Amino acid sequence: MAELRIEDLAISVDGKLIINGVSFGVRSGEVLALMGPNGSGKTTLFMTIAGHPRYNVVRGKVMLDGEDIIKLPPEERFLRGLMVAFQTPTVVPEVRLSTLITAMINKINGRKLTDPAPPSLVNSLMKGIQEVGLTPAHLSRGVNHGFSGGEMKRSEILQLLMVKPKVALIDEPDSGLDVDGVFAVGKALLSLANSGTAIVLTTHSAKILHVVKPTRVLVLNRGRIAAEGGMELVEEIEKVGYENFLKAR
Amino acid sequence: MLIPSELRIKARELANKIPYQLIKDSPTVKYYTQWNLFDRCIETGGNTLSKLPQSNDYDVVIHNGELIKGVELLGDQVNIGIDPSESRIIARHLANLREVYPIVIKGDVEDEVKVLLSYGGEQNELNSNHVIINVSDYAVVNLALSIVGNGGCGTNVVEVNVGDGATLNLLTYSTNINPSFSLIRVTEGSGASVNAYTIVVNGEMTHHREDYILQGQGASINSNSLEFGSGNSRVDYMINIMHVGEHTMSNSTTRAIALDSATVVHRGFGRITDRGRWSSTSIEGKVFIGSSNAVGMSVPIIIVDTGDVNGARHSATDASIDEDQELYLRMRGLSREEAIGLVVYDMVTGFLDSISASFKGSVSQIRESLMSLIRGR
Amino acid sequence: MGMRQDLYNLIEDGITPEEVLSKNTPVRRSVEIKGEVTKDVVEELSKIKREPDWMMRLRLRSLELFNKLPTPNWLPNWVLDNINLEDYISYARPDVNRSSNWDEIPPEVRQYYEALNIPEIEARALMGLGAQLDSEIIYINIRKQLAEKGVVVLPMEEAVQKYPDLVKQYFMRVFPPEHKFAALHGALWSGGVFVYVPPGVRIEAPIEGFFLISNAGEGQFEHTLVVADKGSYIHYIEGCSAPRLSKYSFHDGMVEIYAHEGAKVKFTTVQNWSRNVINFNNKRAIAERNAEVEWVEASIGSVASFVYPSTILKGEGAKTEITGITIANGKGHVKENGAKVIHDAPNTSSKVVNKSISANGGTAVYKGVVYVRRGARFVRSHVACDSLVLDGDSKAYTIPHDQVFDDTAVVTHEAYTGRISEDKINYLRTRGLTEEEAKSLIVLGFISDVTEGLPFEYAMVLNRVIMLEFSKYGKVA
Repeated sequence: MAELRIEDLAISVDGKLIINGVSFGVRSGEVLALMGPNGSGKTTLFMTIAGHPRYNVVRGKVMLDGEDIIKLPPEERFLRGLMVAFQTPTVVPEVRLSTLITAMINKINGRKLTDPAPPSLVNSLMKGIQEVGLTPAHLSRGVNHGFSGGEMKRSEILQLLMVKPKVALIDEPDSGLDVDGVFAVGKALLSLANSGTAIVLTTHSAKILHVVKPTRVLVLNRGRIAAEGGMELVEEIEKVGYENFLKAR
Repeated sequence: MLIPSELRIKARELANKIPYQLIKDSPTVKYYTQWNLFDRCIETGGNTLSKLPQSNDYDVVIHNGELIKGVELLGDQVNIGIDPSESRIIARHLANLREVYPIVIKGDVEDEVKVLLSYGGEQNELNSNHVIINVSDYAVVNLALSIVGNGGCGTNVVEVNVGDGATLNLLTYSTNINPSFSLIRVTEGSGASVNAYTIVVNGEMTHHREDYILQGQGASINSNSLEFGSGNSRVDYMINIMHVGEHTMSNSTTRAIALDSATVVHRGFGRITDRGRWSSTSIEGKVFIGSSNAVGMSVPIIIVDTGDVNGARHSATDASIDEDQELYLRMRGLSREEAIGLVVYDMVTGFLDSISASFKGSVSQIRESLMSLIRGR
Repeated sequence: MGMRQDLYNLIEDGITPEEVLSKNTPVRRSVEIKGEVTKDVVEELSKIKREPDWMMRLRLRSLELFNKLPTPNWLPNWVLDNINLEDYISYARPDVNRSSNWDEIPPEVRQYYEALNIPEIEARALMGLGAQLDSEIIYINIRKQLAEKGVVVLPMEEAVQKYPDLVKQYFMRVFPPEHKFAALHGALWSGGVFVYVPPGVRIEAPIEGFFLISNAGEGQFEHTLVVADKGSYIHYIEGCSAPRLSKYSFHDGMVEIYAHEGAKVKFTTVQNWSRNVINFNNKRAIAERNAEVEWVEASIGSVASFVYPSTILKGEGAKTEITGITIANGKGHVKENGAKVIHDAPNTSSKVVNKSISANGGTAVYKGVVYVRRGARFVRSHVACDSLVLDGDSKAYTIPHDQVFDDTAVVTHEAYTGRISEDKINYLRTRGLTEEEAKSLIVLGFISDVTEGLPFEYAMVLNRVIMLEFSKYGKVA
């Protein structure tokens, strides 16, 4: 049973306070949906939890299985079971997607990075490609190199499926995807949660939440949690929009 | 085939007079090849005692200027296509040679024809090899060329004449220890096409130069190269493409890796002469700088002598993994060193995987050597 | 007004400006120095200018170096053949007194300026004007605002006398006599402008300098020095013109810029020398911490031109942008432009944009160097070179060198050489333009990077000049 708990987190970027007192927790198998208008601080929150050096924790704790990971470098957080799927992933043309995935799995299992992928990984990879809607050709391309926005998202989800981390933070898995893409990615996330990963995701359009139904919904506004609840919050936002939703609270 | 005596006399004369390289660019550009390192090499004229290389895997083997294997592929007397007045190193090369070997590759030979130019000797001894390969008109040939230095300085020249309508798939693998000069000059006839793969590995001072002269109309060259420099190596890779015939096309992609304290240079020279109307050239290079003491340099030059051109482009990058990439990979559990190791691994394997299946045999041998080189780090 | 109107009519007919101006009467001159470049010539020059000792010594040291240094082997032979320095009149003072009022200048001199539209430009966009004729500043007008802010804009000779300590700190320290022509310049320099901007002062409107070569056999060696103190801002524009001459003229100028911490200097040159001029200019800037230097170089005229603006990014966080447009229009024309950037400190960045157009047998050349020193961490540099070659006889060469000694740098270069693409022409034709109109529009768009940064009048004049250069491509409303 893995758990990520955020306690009274405050974050500043370039001297400006972006997050000012956010707390929440998520456990294995749970899906926490983080919603909020543009600029509410969702990406800042994720980047900080993942360990991006540009984000400065002013106060608060980030507890992974009871350990405060604030001081740990990003690669350590990954090895402890925390993985991020980015909103705008970086392009790394020199490293093929297949090489990166194999290297991550090798590292987790204490093997040498460039050891060949074991047959079990190869099988999972083939299945995973189908699940997210990519092709084997994508595996031989540089990470995100020449990928469309939607393909980048699928590639990030594929990595999650292969690693099966304890906690997955997924920033807008649905942007850039068409209806079928949202469906495919949603189902993939569902299976990830079912296999025990604790998921926190932000979403652009909330459509994905109809596929991977969240256990809890948080609404972020101007660095603070403005509302907490279930799917009913999503439906209200879909109906009246963020401005009216937030005004009513 | 012996070198004509007039040529040898001329070469000997010029070997002490003319410069290695004429820098005419600008007041600040220095030499990319440290030619002074070649000054300590002494011509042996082929008189060295050294261990002979393993010949089993090759069809033609020339070692320290002497043909050891492949006499059945020798052809008739041909003209030597290089002149001692080109530069001091070429003059020295011709002065140091006794024989030049013309090789003919005729019809469609399915398997790769494997040629080994090998040299070895004491650290200051200079050994030279020279081979002239003729690819018959309309032939389809797979040629795997290996230039291997086991000690001592070396000059290796390979002239290739590709006949009209012929297709040459050329794989060149060069690995050196002490100062070495290699020149591969390919001249193409009408409608000829060349697909070249080149791998150059290490060396105290390796100057590896490839000239592709697209003489005949419609000739084309597609070149992919990989430069690898580790330790204290200095690799200066130069690819010259001259468009002389009309409607000729060239495409050159170079990936270079500079590790430890190595210096790796990529020089790409695309020239469309005024006769090469309606030609196009594209040269792309990336030098990956993999450690803080490594150095990468790019010199992508375009010379276009006529506006009747279909386009000339080049692009060059010198960089390591940038901050964003490093962070992304760290969030995937990899430290900077591991990330760089992964990049090096993938650049090398990716390149090997892209080589045509015709070279299966040679590629697996090269893969073995390169993997042990990378793994041993 | 009458002459200007006639001039415009002639230009509309497709005759080049210099063809018109060559009909002008030559300007009278009072002092001429001819002959060999000996120590005596240099000493006499210094005495006539009433220079302090240290400047004379600087000239003599430069002359020594000039005699020692080898002739550059990177110039085309025919250029070297046509530079015979001993033949040039290196100094001449026209028979005109200093004046700060346009109307007081003798008519024949005024003609040159009127033909080039100077009064209007001055009235609207500029804060000060320095004009040089035959190696002397004759027209200087510093507005009250500048003087009050402590900004100094003076002829170089005057600055040497009035502010010797200030000038001495920078003069030929930014660009020492490293090669033969820089050394020649150091020995014979004459004229040019000195600009000093005090800390924190921002001059929003551009300052212009101006000079002419009016006779054959004239050498032009003006020296411009711009010093921008901490946190200041200045945009300096240099533009020039000369009539057609019977002998080759030779120009060996120098521009030195020193941008102190946080200062920003933009230096624009529109060079339109007549086709008889061989133009050589030594341009270098040093940028200290967080300073920015922007070079804009438009090389339109002259038969041969060799100008490679360079910036040394000395302080952390310094930036430089070097934008150039080179036009080589005519058989045997060799126009070399380029950029040299030395990244000597961490977090520095550079951007080079170079565009060239070659036509009618001309050759445009880009020569560049980007050097990143080890320890200069996190450098970003990008160079983009585009060359349009308009016909079968013209040529374009791109010769860059990237030398990177630090593994945290990202240095990129891309270049493209080609004709105007058929696709683009066809697209514009489907939007109603003729082929010639389409080509003109594309050429103007091609150089818009440069024209965008210029004050309105300059952009208009530059566009007009370029359209005249390619007048066979038709006129655009």
